[in-house]
Amino acid sequence: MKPKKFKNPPRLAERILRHIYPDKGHFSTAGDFLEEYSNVYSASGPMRARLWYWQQIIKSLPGFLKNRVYWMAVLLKNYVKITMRNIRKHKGYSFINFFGLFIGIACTILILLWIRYELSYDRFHENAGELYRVISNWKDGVRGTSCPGAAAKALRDEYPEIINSTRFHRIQNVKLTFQDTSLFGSGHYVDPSFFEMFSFPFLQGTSQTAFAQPRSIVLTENFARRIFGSGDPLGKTIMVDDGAIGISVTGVLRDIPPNSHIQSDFFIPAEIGRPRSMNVWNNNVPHIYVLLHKNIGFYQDVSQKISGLVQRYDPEADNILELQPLNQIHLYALEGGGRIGYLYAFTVMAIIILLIACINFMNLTTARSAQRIKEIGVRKVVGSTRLQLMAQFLTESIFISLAAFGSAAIIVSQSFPFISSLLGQNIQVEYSLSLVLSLIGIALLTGIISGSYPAFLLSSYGPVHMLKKELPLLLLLNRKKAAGKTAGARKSGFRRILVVFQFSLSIGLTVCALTVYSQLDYMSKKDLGFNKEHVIVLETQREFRQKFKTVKNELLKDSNILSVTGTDPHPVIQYGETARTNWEGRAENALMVTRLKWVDYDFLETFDIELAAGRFFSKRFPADAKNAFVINEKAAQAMGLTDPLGKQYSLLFSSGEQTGIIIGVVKNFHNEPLHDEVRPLTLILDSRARFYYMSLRIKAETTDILGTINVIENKISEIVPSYLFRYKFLDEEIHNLYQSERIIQRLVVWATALAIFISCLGLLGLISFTSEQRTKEIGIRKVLGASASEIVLLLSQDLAKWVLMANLFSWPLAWYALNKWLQNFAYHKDISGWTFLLAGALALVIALLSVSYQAFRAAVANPVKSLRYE
Amino acid sequence: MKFLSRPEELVLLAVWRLKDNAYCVPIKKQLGRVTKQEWSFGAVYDPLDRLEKKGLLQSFFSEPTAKRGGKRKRIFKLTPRGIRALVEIKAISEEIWDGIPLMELKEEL
Repeated sequence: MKPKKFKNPPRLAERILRHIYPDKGHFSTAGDFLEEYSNVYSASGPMRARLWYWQQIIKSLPGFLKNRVYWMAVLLKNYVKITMRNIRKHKGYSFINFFGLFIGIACTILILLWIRYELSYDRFHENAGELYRVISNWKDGVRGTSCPGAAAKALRDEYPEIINSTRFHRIQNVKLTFQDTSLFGSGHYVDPSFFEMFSFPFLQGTSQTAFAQPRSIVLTENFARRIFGSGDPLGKTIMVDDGAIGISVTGVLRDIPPNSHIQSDFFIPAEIGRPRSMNVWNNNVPHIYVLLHKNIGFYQDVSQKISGLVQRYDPEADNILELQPLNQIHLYALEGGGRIGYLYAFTVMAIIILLIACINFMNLTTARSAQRIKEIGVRKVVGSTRLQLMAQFLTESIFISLAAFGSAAIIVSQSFPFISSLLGQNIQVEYSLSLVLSLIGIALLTGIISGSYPAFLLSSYGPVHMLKKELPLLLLLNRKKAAGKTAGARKSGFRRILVVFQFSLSIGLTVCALTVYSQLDYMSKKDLGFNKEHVIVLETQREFRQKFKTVKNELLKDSNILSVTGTDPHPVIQYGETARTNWEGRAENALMVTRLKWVDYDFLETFDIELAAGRFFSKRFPADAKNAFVINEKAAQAMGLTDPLGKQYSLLFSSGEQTGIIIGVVKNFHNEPLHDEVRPLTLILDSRARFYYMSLRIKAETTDILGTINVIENKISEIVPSYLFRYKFLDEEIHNLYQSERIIQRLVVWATALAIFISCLGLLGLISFTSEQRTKEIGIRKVLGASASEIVLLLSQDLAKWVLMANLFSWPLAWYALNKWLQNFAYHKDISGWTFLLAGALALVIALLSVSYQAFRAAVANPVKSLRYE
Repeated sequence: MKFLSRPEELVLLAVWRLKDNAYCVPIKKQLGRVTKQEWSFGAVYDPLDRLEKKGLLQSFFSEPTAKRGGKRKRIFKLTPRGIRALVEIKAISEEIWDGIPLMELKEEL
C-alpha cells in the first residue's frame, strides 16, 4: 500500500535542532533525523513520527542548556577579569566613563522619582479612578472650578451614572477657639458624602457618624494636636470665628499626605456654612466632586450629558458643566498646560543627559580601541565569534553602568533632602519592586546603548588587520592621511558626528536655560501697573472687619504709614467674583464678564495705580457709595467705549443688578499672575469697609521696618484683641506666585550645567587621547619649527569646528521648544538672537578651556622626549 | 592502545559491517537490532565522534540526496588503526571468553 502524502517534520523542532547542533553547516544531522523520521513515518504514521521527532529534541535540551550556561559563565568570568584589568590600566579614561554615566544615571533616577511623585497625586483614594471634579466652562472661554451649589444634589439624583456627589468650599483663615487656645486654620465645607467618596482615614470617629448632626467638625491629626495638645479632642466643643455657638469635634483624620490636591485643617458640614449661597442655581460658589459608577466607559459621555444641567434650572446661566478626572487636577491646568508640560520637559532632559553620557562612553571606548586591537585579534584567532566579542564589550559597558548605577543610587538616596529643598517640594519616595526593577532596567539599557557601538565597531575588524596592528592604527588615528579611503576613517567620522550631537544637546539646553532666566527676570522686573514695594498686607477676620475704620484711622496716625486701604478680595494677586455686565450703548450681542474688586477710598494711593481718565471714588461725592464704578482700560476697550465716563453701567448678579455710572478709568494693572492677560475689572466702593484684606503703604525711607510692624500689631490688638496678627509683604507674595517657574529655572540650570560638564569631560578624554597618539607628530612638527601656539591650534581647531557645527543643529530645536514654553505666558519676552549666539559662544569657550590644558601640555612638551622612544 | 568503551566497540564493529553505507541511520538501526533496544542519535553520534578523534574512524560527506531533503550524509570509514583495533579487540575477547561454557553460565541464573 502506498503511504499517504509525506508530511515534513515539525518546522519548529527542526529549527531547534539546527540551533543546538549546528553541524558546521553540513546539516548531515538534520538529514539523519529526517531519514529516521521518514522511516518512523512509513512504519507507524505521521502522528507517531512527529511525536518521535519532538521527543528527540526535548530529550536533548537540558543537557544542551546546561552546557551553554556553563561556558557562558566561564566566558563572563574572563570578560569581567579583562574589564577590571582595563579599568586599572587606564584609570583616567575609565573614571571619565564611569563619572559621566554616574551623573547621567543619578539625574535620571532623580527625575524619575520626581515624575513618579507628581503622578502619584490623588491616587491614594480607593475610588481615585472614579472620582471627578465638576468644572464650569464659562461663555467667555474661562474655565473655573466654582459651580452652582444646587447642582451637587441634582447630579446625584438625576444621573444614574453618578453614585455620589459632594459640595466642597474653601474657607480660609478661620479662627477656631477651644477654651484659651485660638488657632487660625483653613478648611472646607463639605457634604457628609465627602468622607465616603474620598479615602481620608479616620483616626477617631467614623466616616458614617462624623456629620450625623450638622454642628460638627472633623479635624486633621496635626491641627487637632495643636489645639488640644495631648488631650482627647473627640466630643469637645470648638468656637468658630468668635461665633456664639460652638460645634463639636466628631472625628480626627490622619494627616492628609502632601501629594493630595485637597489640603485642609478641618472639615465642616456644608449646611452650617453658607447654606443660602451654596444651595442655589444662580450663584457659583462651591466646588463639586462626583463619584461615577465603575465601568462607565468614557467619562466624556457623562460629561456631555451633564453639560446642559445648569440651564435647565437657570436659563440665564453662562456656564456649562464638565467633568475633570481627579488624577488630572494636579497636572493639568484648567486653561490648558500645567505641570504635565514640565513632566515631559524633564523626561526629555533626563534622556538628553543620559545620552550625552552614553556618547562619552562610545567615543572614548572607540577612540581607545587601537590599544585593544591586539587583544581582539587574538580572541578572533583562537575562535571567538563576532557575537562573543560583542558580548564581551557589552559586558564591559554594562559592568561600568551598573557600578555607576549603584553609586548613583546611594548618592541620590543620601542627598534626597537636599534635592527636595532644591525643588521646594517635599518629595516622598515609596520604594517598590517595580521602581527598583525599572531603575535597574534603565542602568542596563544605558550600558547596552553605550556599549553597542563600540561592540559593533571593534568586532568588525578582520583578525589579520588587527594583528598587524600598524594598519588599523594608522586608519584610526591619522585620519587625514587616510581620509575617505578606508573604513577606519569613516568610523572616526561617526565619532565626530557623536561629538557634534552631544554639543548640539548641550547648546540647546544652554539656550533654554538662558531664556528661562530672562523670562523670570522679565517677570520679576515687569511693571505691574502698581508699586509692590513697601506694602504690607493683612488678612482680616470678623471682628477686625467690624472695626475696620477705627483701625485704619488709628494706624494713619503713625508717621511711617503713608496710607491704608481695604480690599476684597486680595488687592492684586487674586480675583474673586465675576459678573456679567450691561452698559449704555451696548451692541446687541456684545458680552463682557468683568472681575470685581471692592475697594476703599485710598486704593489708588496705596498701590500707586494711575488713573487714565475721570476721577476715583471720593468722600466729596457721597453718591459714589451707591452708584459709581471705576473700570480699567481693558474693560473700556472690551465694551468698545472710547469715552466711558458718565456712561450707565450695570453689574448683573444672581441676586439682582447693581446699576451706576462710570466715573473713572484706571490704567491696567496686573491683578493675576503674568501667565494671564489683564482682564476687564470693575472697582466698587465698599463704604461700609467690610474688607477681607487690609493693605498698608509704609514710607520708603523707613529703616526700622520691624519696629513699624510692631507698632501696627500693638495698635490693632488694642482695638481688636481677638485678632491674631499675621502680615505679609506684597513683593514677597508676588515673588511666591512664580514658585514653580523658579523650580523649573533651578532645574534647567542644573541640568544644563551637568550636560555641559559631561560633554566637556568627554572632550577632555578625547583630546588627551589624540594628543597622546599624536605625540610623535607633534614632536616632529616642533623639531621642524612649529610654535607652541600652532600646536595648540592644531589640536583644538577640529573641536572648534565641531562645536560651531553643533550650533546649527541645536538652534532650530531650541527655538521651537522655547516658543512653546513662552506661550504659557501672556506676557513674555521674545527670544532674542543674542541668546543663541551667547549659548554657542559659551559652549565654545567652555569646550576650549577644558581641552586647553591638555593641548598646551602636549604643545610645550620637549620634542626630544617624545621622539626618543623609538 | 587504550581500551575502547563498550558502545565504541559496538559502533566500530557496526561501521565495519556496513561498509560503504556506514552513516548514522543504518548504524543506529544495526545497533538496535543487535542489542535489542532503541539507540538515540546522541548515543550513536557520541562514540562516532570519539572514535574519529582517536583516529580509528574517518568521515566524509556524501553528495546530497533527495531522500534526505537535500541533506548530506556523513559517511564513516575505518582507518587502518581502526581495523587494527578491531583485530585486537577480537583477540582479547576470544581470549577472555575462552573456556567459559555458555550452558554453565545460564544454569547459574
